[in-house]
Amino acid sequence: MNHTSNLLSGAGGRRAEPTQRRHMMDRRKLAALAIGVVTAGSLATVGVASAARHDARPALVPLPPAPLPSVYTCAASPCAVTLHATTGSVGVKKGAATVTVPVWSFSLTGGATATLPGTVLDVPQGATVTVTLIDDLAQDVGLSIPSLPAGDLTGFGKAATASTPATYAFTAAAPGTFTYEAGNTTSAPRQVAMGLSGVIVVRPAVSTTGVKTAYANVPFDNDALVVLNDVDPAFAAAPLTYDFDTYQPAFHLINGKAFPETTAIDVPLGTTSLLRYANLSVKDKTMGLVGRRQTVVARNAEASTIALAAVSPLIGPGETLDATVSLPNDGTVAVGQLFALYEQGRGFNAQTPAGFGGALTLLRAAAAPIAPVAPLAPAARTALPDAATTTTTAASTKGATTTTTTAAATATTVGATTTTAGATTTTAGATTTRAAAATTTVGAKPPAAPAP
Amino acid sequence: MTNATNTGGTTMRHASGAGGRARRHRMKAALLVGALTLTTTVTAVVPLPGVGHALGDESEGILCTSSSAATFDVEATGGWISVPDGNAIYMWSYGLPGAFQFPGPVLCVNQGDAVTIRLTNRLVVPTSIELPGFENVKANGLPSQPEISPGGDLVSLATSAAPGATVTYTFTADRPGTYGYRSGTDPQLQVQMGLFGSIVVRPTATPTGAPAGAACAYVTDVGACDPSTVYDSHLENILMLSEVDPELHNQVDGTVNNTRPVGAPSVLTWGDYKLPYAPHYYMINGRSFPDTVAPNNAPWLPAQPYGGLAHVAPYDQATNPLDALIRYVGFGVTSYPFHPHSNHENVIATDAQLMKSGAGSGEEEKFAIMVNPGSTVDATFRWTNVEQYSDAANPLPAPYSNSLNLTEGDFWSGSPYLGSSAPLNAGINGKTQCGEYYHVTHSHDLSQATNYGASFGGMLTLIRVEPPANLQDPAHPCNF
Repeated sequence: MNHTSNLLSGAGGRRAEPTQRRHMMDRRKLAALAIGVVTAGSLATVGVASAARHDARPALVPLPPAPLPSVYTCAASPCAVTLHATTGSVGVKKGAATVTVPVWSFSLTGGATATLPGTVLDVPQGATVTVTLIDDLAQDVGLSIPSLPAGDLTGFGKAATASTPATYAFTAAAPGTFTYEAGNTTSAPRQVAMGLSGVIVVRPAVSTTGVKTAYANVPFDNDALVVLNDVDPAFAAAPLTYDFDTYQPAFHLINGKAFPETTAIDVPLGTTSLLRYANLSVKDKTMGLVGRRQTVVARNAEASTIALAAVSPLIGPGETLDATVSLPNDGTVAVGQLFALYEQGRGFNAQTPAGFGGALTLLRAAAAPIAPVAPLAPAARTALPDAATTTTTAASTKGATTTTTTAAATATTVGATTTTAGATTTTAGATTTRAAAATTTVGAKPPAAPAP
Repeated sequence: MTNATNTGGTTMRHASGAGGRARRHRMKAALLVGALTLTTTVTAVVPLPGVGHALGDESEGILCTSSSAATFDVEATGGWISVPDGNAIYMWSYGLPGAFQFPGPVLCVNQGDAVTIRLTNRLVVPTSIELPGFENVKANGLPSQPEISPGGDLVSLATSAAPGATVTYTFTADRPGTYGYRSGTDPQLQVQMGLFGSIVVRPTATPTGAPAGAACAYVTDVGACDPSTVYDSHLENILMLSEVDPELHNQVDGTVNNTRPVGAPSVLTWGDYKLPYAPHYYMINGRSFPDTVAPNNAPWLPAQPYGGLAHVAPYDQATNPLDALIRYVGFGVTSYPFHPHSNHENVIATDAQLMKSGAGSGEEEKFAIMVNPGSTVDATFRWTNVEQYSDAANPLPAPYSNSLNLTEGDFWSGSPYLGSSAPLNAGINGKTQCGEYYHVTHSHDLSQATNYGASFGGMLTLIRVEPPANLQDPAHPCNF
């Protein structure tokens, strides 16, 4: 796996292996300490376990946030952001060459700085958010927030013009993953297809015990945005005149990049990560994770009444979906192990010799975290939880894989737990029979003759 | 490696030339006209308690490949399949050793089984098996995961086998349900070429207090049989949905089998294929309609063993209380909106996940079931004879149209009443036997219910509704 960091531009090299091992050792000790407390089973005791760890151990380097080109983070209400509707481009690697595709998006600065996806607005729940929209395009641009009734968006219907900015305001009343986009002008659909859209993340306050939640009863340890955009270079060359009926995306992007340039998502062992999917394209996306089950905890920022496991949830254009993924720290998953996350329509466009590209990225098992030295600031996004929190998380997430702290004490060497099934001499003896279950003897019929 | 020519499709269609007035045993007669020595066709002969006539023998419904040790040897090979318009399509697929088939075998295991799949690669390119929905899958004892080349490139999404090599995948089938498996190597080409199949994991829990023949598809949070997933084990079906771009297959065929014209491109990877992707055949279980209603293991479709006919009898609390089960598996690149005619289906699970948790249920009655790429959907189906039509108790309010004014289809019995039949117009080769109903069930992207654009075909199959004993005409009994 020496070459992993080559592929997974970025985070791969950030942790030195020896440090990782030290963390794992510490983690085991911590887990052992925590067992007695955790099995008491109440959330209130988690804080006790957590407090016990504020000792002299080195602080864990926080996981890097998802590599998004433009993020506006607001710690406390009121929030005020200026967005420029402006031009720019994205580069998509195709073979040895890079194809540069013009885009429009909402940027924090003027000039030709547009990237995909547009600026993420990361705001606390309950905040008043004021958006000043400056139009750097030679056309009117309005702001629309599809999840909000028109009356809840002050300024709804207004458009910024080249000479006059427009101001909008809303209250981030409900938590979750939302979108905003260009709206209320005749060119708005084409503007959206060009990239004038973005994600709004509304975060509930972190609990006093450091538990982060996306929705009520949806705790998580880390979150990662998975923003899906498409580009069609032919359309992008003439967005206001191109025959929209023939729009056909050539490249599919995750967080503005097509594989192999997408960045892997690190999920520490023993933690639960929240994947915040937002489909800002105009085509269906089915995001399948292979090797771990996802649990769909919300669609359209509406928490699931029953959170169910999924392999390949469909996310329609303009839709958001939140799913959790947990990795156990019980030795079944090794640090560095990879899991493919990709659009199941397989729109890869053969950007690598092996035929991969587009909306494909990898989840990577990272070392189990240890507690930080200092108590977490409430709004610290990248803080990692303690083992007790993790356990509580897993237990309270319906359908999630069970994770226990006792398991955390085992070594994380997957290869050592190999079954020997492959090496046995058992003959498959596969026969073609009617479907009767082994436990269902009533009505079972004898095997049929093999296929002719 | 059998070249399955067009015998199958034409056999069904040649039947239309039989004509004649003998309406009884029409299906059988039609097939005999095709010079086949079939004794059974789409119905069965083993009596079941309460139903009166056989449903669900070997000729229809899911056809499992099972193994007492849950150990399966499969080979990735190439071969040809037949489509109803007479074309032969070159496919890559998983098959049992020495026997090409498409799609790959339906592997049936029990919950908790330690499953072993030994894949031997008989293709000219590397390939693999990706097992979405299962966790902790190992390949040759190590985690099966995306493979990175020494140069840092992703080369496969699952541990792959070089041509001629074998890779052994092991995993525990910990949760019951319907799963797809498929190639994780150059999947844009290889899954399209046909490298996919399904896995059914049956729960260890069994229904309690249910009639004989009842089985259970899913278990509750505490591991008990979930009562809303109880079905008749003889009425279990799987519908694996896929599509084919014939030109891609043609080019791969020419490359692999050295039959391509001089100057034609060599196509062994998706990157080699320079034409825009253009599917023209849409399939259920590797067949396009009308082949979908041919029986399992139909000898004229030697490489396409899986039929797609669902066969039910009207629900009756006393005599026929169990539902059928339909397992959908999506292998396409878009969502297939599958639409059952007659009655709705009750979706009980997606992606092998029961749509319940605790007291909450997300089960839905649906008449359009989206089968998304990489996903599975399970639904129960109960056909209720709502109208209870009979010509004695509930006659038509107006004279029946002169049949000469009608265009009659060959799955029409000549009568609107279940269990009745009447002569069809001359030249119409009816396929009904005893006044049974045939309802279509198909992709409602109707361009997919075609064979290269010709209706009806493609991703379409039939539900045969058997008349209960009291509605059958003694002169036209259903068993034959």
